[in-house]
Amino acid sequence: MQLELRHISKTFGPLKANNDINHTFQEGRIYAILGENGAGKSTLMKIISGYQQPDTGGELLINGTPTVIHSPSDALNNGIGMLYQDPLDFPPMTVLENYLTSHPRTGFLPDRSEARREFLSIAQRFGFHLDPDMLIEGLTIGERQQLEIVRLLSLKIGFLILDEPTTGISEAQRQTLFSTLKQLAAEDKLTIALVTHKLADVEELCDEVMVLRHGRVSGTCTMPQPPDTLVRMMFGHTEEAVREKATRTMNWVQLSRGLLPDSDNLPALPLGQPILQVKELTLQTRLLTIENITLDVREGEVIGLAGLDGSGQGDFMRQCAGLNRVSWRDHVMSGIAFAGLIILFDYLMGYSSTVFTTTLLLLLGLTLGPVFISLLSYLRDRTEHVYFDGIPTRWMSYRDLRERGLAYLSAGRLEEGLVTGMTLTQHFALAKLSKIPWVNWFAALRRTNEGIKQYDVRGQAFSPIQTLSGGNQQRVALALLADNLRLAFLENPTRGLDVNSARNIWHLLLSRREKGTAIVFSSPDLDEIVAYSDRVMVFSSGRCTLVGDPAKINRHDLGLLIGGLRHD
Amino acid sequence: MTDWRRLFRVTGVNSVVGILPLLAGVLTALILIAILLNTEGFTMRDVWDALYDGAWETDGKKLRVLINWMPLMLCSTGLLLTFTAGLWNIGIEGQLTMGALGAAAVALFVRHDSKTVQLGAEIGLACIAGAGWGLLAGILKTRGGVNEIFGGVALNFISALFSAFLISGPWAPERGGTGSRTEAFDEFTLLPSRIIDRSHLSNTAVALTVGGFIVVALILYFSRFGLQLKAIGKSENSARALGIPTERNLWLAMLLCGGLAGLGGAIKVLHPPIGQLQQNSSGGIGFLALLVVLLASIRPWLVPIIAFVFAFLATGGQRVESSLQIDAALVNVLQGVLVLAVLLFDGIRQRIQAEQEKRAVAAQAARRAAEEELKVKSS
Amino acid sequence: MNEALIKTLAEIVGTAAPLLIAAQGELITERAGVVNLSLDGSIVLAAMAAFAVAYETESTELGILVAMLVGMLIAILIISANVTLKVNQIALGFVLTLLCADLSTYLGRDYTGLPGGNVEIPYAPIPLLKDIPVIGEIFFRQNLMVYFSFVLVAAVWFWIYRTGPGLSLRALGERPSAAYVRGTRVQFWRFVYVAIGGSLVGLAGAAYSLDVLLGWREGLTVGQGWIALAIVIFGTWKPLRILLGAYLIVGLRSFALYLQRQDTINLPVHILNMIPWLLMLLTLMFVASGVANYLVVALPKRWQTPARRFLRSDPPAALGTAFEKE
Repeated sequence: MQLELRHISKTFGPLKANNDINHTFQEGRIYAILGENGAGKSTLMKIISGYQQPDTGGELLINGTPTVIHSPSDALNNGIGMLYQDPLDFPPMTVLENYLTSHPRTGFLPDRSEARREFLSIAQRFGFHLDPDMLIEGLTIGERQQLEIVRLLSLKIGFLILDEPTTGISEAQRQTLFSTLKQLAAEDKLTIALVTHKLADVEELCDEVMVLRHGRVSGTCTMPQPPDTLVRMMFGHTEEAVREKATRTMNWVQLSRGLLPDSDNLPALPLGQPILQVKELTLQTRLLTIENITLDVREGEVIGLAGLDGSGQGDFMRQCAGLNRVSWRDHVMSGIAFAGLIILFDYLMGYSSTVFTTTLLLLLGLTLGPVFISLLSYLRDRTEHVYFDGIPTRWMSYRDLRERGLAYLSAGRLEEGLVTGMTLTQHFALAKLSKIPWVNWFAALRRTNEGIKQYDVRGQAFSPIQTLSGGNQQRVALALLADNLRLAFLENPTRGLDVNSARNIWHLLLSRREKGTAIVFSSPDLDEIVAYSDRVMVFSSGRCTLVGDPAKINRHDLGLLIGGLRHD
Repeated sequence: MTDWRRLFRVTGVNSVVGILPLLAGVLTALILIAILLNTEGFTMRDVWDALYDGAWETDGKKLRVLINWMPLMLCSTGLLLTFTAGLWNIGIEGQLTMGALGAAAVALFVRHDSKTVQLGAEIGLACIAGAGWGLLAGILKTRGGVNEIFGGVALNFISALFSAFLISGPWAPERGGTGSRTEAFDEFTLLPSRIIDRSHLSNTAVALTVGGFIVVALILYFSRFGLQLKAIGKSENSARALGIPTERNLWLAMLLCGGLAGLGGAIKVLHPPIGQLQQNSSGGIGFLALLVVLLASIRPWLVPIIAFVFAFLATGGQRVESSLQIDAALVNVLQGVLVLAVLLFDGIRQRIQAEQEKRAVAAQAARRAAEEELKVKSS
Repeated sequence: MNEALIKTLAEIVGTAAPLLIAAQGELITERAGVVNLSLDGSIVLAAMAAFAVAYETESTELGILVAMLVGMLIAILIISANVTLKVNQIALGFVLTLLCADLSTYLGRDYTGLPGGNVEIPYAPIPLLKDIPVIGEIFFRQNLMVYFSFVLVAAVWFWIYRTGPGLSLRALGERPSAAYVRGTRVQFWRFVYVAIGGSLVGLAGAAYSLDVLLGWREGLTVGQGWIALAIVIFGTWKPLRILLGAYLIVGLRSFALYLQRQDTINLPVHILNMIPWLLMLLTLMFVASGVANYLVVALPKRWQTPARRFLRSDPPAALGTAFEKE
């Protein structure tokens, strides 16, 4: 299918998100749409996939016919399908049920056996191993992507858009995906557009490149091209200021490929005392059990956690940070509350029936469930597995550990980290762990202004946090960490940030490191892990491998480990 | 530096703009009621006269409003805490009932020589019973994954049934029990009161009510606990990630709310002239308090005023029924329509505000883009 | 079998019908991702409207129809305010609960205590089936409303788990954004399902005033709506478990009366009435406290997955949230 964009513009108030975009996607070719954050990629995608209409004057031509697309399902009817970064499916339903939703022949009473046959035949063609009766909840992101592709293909699409498809999937799944896409373009004459900022993906897969900058097409070219040409198209041309910006980005790209020696960017630091000791920890995640995790982290060290999404990196960090644990103080408190309520009811019920009292006692007994379970697991396995700063952490919650200088930053900044609707000053006031029952707003304001200055946050002390851009939010999150920070767990610290913001964040992080703070971070981006880690832990299908040799910390070797092709 | 006020706002809404929906809601409700009355052949004037006659004409009637105001006010005060923490404490009815039961238990079966100790024990057990009931709902929520609305409803039913059981069984009067009330409490166990114009007034009760409100208002506006509750209400996960002990704070909020409701229950049964435990002692005050706080959009300073208006309507409503032959439920309908209208108007306000914010964000992005463009050109 | 017991069981099936209908209505509403908290008020107001209309027009059918309309209108008010103005569904539902109850008191004052004999839903034993021993006596010597409640449960189950539109219904409550991308008109279908759910709630009201509690008085059905809501949660949003829940809660209540009549055990009736609530809390608490999970691990391996699935009690993921395209 051929898709032509003519004079596509989209304005939001004074902002021109897309500005007169003209481009033709030819049948059977694979395109890359490149651009910084805010360059207009997502707006363009939304216009093609029907979420938004272009301003008047803009047209989409499908095989030469002008077409107006009113909604995503309208786009599907016109043969345009989109694969979202976070697959839009229904986790509590089975694979087959997901396949059936939106299927044209679903009708009132779907023919499940026919659908199953059809589904399996498409899946087989591309070598996808999907069990139609599995629940989506139990699948990896890569498998969910495969399901979506099968579903879209069954709808006879001619144009497929993929949004950052390689985030969070294994190297093997990436290879499968790429060969599938190539096959689709060659055999089925599908037009494919890949929205990404990963140059490696572009080099490997794409035939044509279209670069967006400030809402305009800043260039198109046919692959292969040297990476610096692409980088320059993304960030601007020959001007001095921009070249500097581009060079820095280039450095990161090259560094991540091992073209630049590490030592230039990461001065070797003398490592201090061990700060976190993990000994033969067994980790139970929702999908798998990882046994025998052992890791020593020293002051000033940076440990990268690599692996597919959901391989246990996140669970590992949350476990070490005590996020899923109840503090011994709360155990004691619930015990006291339990006893108090029993005494109270005993007094009140003195005259009444046993039914009521017994049930209430049972009810209250169940509130102590976590305590019983902690005790039982303690009795079963009395060895201590995680030491923070030499102290066993079994009975400590995140708050207890935080008081001792540990911090955890989740990838969802506004979901788990910053409070939408509160100002920066309120955040600084909240983050200060203090026993005083009132808030010293003057001190909080002073700390806020210091933090804003020190971390170069673009925002005022009284701005609500959600009005800041993603990079600035992340900077605030870092500024909120205590001064005496000993160990930071960071889940995908640069999620959703463009290359420059990401570098900025890392600059701030590494400056913390010089003060002796150890950093443990996870990232779906292997380049980021290679670039910044002293050592790397690879999580792969229930195994956990520590890579300490700097020579082995490179894309290729780690990729093999993640893909489960090697275990050493 | 008007921005300072942002720090103390409980709801994060500018108070001038925030009050507009309330005014619009009042207007709508009044118009609707006027139409309703018109079909019955009455004017607003008739109803107002009856209300005034029933609830404001003499000092005694004013005091009756005050007596109705106190339990409602205490419940609303407690709900300010739970609403700030994002909890729908629908179980407040049960907490009030348990408070009444606690007070009654002491008043009926314990006797101490000192009146202070006696009253202290009554009020104390009422608070503890209410607080325990609130805490139970809180524990069910955080530990049992039982949504606080469902848990609250269940606990309401349980407490109502329990109270009915006590009144019809173990606590029934020895002679002439109707199953709907206990024996009248001894004069000695009631709150000390003065009689003004044939109505009772207990200073202790007023002091407790006002004091409770002031403490809660101080907590919400100035304390760390209040700030933490706000954060939990906006996003529990984020609050936890910021190192706030969320479970403990939620329990504490439920505990305090239950305690205040229990106190309300105690005042309800211990304030003369009632002085006995009746079937259905909560009488819907808890639900009414939920309406009060909804209407105030969790703005503490509005709560006493709205609670007072509601108490006034409740007191005057009986006179409306007796003198105009209009069902007192009309007054409740008025309240319901009022809250409904305010909710809808507040929705409209938020919609407009969101629209404005979106435009502001777009403008900011455009400015940023223009700056960069300029930088590129100049270099 | 003991005749009194059969009579009690038949009574349970009969009196549980309105509760069952209301709970299935709420199930449909919540499966579409919307909470209609106004059940308690809707049922009272619908009951009042049904009785008043049926009494005035002497037509039971018209009464039922008006009751359904009332329930539907209330539900529509909630969903439209939520869609257009993003008003919190819970707050709105709660206010409507109180408002409708008061409205029913106010509007229904002239109908209090009137005899309703001529508007009662007629008793209609099904020929043949009614002669089956025990089962026939319990299930098939009822009126049309009760038979409808059986059919409804089956229909709702079939709709949700077996049909194409039912698949979209689950999708609506689970992830409306994904349903939207797949061509489901989210707002429209939510509207439709909420309206259907609301009219079923209204029907439940009619079942009370025209059948179970025949007649009208102030606060006729107060509490029933909350019970229906509780049954939906207790039934973990599954039609058949809701059926069980409704029979359980009504059963325990009737059983208390039966015991009292038999004079065998002397438990105060109030305490017996508490049991369903305590049982519900206990069950939910047991599932969520982690103790259940701990016990599941102790089961043989092949029992674990079904046990986990059985213990699952998650509400639809998008429950109570407003849908936006972006």
